[in-house]
Amino acid sequence: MCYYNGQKVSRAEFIKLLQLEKAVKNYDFLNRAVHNGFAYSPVAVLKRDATETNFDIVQMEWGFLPPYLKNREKAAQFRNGYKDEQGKWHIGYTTLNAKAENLFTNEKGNPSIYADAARKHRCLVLSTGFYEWRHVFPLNKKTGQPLKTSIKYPYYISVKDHEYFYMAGIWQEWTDKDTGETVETLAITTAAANPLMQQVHNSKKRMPTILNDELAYEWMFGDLSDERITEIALSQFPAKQMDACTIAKEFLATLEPSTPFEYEDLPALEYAI
Amino acid sequence: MEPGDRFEIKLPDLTMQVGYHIINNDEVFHVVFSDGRPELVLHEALSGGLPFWTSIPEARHRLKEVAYFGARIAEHLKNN
Repeated sequence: MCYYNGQKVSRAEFIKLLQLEKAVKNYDFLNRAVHNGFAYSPVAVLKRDATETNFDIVQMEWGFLPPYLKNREKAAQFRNGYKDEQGKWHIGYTTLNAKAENLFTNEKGNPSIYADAARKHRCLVLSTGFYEWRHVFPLNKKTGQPLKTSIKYPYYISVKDHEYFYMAGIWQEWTDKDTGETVETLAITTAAANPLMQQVHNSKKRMPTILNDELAYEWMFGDLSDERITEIALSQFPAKQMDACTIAKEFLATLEPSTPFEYEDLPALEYAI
Repeated sequence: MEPGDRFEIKLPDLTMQVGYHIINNDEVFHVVFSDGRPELVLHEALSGGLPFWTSIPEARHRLKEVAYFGARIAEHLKNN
C-alpha cells in the first residue's frame, strides 16, 4: 500500500496518480477544449533512483540507441538502414525489443550492444496491456491448401486482475553530439512465447518478459550475475494469468484501442484462457 | 458532459469555476475560485475500493478544502 494526499491507496492507484500528476503538470487547462488523453499518454518507466533503493517514474524513448551513434541522422540510419556512398545497402536494426538470449552475446557470437545496459541499467516498463498480431492463412478454395499471404488479426493482451503490470526493460542514455540533446532510450526484453502467446503472436512466437512483483523487484534492485539477469529475462509469465481478445484492425486510430472486437471468420484460440 | 465543458458552482461565500477535462483517460476538474485562493486540480481516486477526492499534485496542507470542494462538484454533477 502507498499513500497519496494522506489516503491509503493501492500501488496501481498510486502509479496512476503519479502518471496523472506528470500529465497535469504539462497540461494547459485554459486553452484546451478537447483533449485526446490517449495521444498524450506518457510511456512510463520505473527507473532505479540515485539511492538505488527506490525508483523514479520517468519517460523514455522506446528504441534502444547505442551511445556511439553520433547524431539523429546516424540514429535514423541505424534504425532504418541506409545506402552508403558506394551504393551498398546497410540493414537497419530494430531495437524496440532485446531478445533475452542475446543480452550479452549477439546472434553472431559477438558482445551485445545491450550488455552494459543489462548489467547496469535495468528498468521496468509499466503496461496496462500490449498488442500483437495473429497471422491466419486462409485456405485456397480450389486446392484446399493455405494461401501464402496471411490475414493479420490484432489482439490486446493483458494480465488478469492487474490494472498495471511490469515488463523487463534495459535503458541507455544517448546524446546527440550535434545538438547536445540527451534522452534515455529503452528496449523491452523478450522471452519465448508461452502457450497463449504462441497462438497469438504465431509468426515470431515471442512475448515481452512480464515480471511478477518479486522478479520485478529483483530485476530493478538486485545485484545480479549475468546468468541471473538472463534467467529473469527468459522467464515466461504463466498463460493462465493472461487475457487476450481481438480488437478492431484500425485500433491505433481509435480512442479506446483495447475495445474487444469479434471477427466472424477467425477461429478461436485453441488455448483456453 | 464533454471534455472542455465549464460550469459554475455558487457557494454562500464564493463561486467555483470548474473545467472538466480528460487526461490520461482520467476525469479531472480544474477549479478556479472567486476569492483568489490558489486554483486546484481535483480528481476522484480510489482508496480501498472507495472513492475519495484528491488534488493533483498532492496538496497536503489543503486536504479539507480538497474534500469539501470535491464534494461540491459531486453534488453538482448529481443534481444537474
